[in-house]
Amino acid sequence: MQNVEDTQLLKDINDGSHQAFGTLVKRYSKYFYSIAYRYVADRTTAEDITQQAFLKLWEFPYKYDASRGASFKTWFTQVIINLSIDHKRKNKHFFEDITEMEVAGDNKDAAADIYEKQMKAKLEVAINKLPKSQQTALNLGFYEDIPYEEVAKIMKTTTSAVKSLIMRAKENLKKGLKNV
Amino acid sequence: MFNRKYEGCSADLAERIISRSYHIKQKQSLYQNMLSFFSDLSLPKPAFVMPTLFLAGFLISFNIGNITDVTDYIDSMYLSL
Repeated sequence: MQNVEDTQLLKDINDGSHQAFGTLVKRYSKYFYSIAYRYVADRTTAEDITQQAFLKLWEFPYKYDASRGASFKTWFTQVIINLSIDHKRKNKHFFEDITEMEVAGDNKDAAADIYEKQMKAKLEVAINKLPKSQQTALNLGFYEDIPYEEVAKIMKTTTSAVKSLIMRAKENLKKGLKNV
Repeated sequence: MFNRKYEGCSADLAERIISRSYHIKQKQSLYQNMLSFFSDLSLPKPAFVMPTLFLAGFLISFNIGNITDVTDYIDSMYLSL
C-alpha cells in the first residue's frame, strides 16, 4: 500500500477501504498539519484542523474529483487553507491577547522567553494583517518551501504572480513590524 | 527577522485520525445512491408484472370514472335546457 498512487488510494477510500485511508493519512498528515500550523500558530488547533479535514475526506470521499485536473495534494491543501482561515476568522483576538502579555517577574530567563514569544506573536499579527493572497503565498512558498509552480496551482494563479506576492508580503511585513 | 514559532505535531496524530475514522460511516453521493438503488432493484419478472398490472388498472379505472362524470355533466346540461 505504501507505493500506491494517491488516485488509487482515493478510489479505494471511495470503496470503504480503511487501509487506503490509513496509508493516505500517514503519507500526508505531517505535511498538512504544517500548513495549518502556519495559519493558526497553535499545535492543538492545527492538529484539530488536520483531523477534521481528513475525517471529512473519509466521510465524503466523492468530494474529491480527479477529473477536474487538480492533484489530491493541491486540492487538499486548498481544503486545509480554507479551514484554517475559517478558524482564524472565528478566533481573531487570539494573537492580540498574546502580544499584550506583560514582561513581568525577576526571572530573566522567563522574561526573555516572554519577550521572544511576544516578538513572534507580533510577527503573527503582522502576517495576519496581510491580504489573504499574500498570506497564502508567504505561508506556502516561503515558510513551507513549496515550489512556486505548486503554490501557483493551489492559488490558481501564475508562478510570476506568486513570486511578486511573496515579495510584496515581505515588504509589507517589514513595514508592519515597525508599526505593531 | 521573519523567523516564526513552529511546533511539530504529536507523534500519534495519524493514528488518532485513523482510529477516529472507524467510528464514522461513509456517505455516498446522490449518483452512487441511485446506482445502488437500481442494482438492488433486481426483482424477478412476476414481481414487476403484478405492480404494473395494478398500476395500469388504477389508471384505467380512474379514467373511466372521469369519462362517466363528463357524460353525466353533459346529460345534466341537456336536461336543464
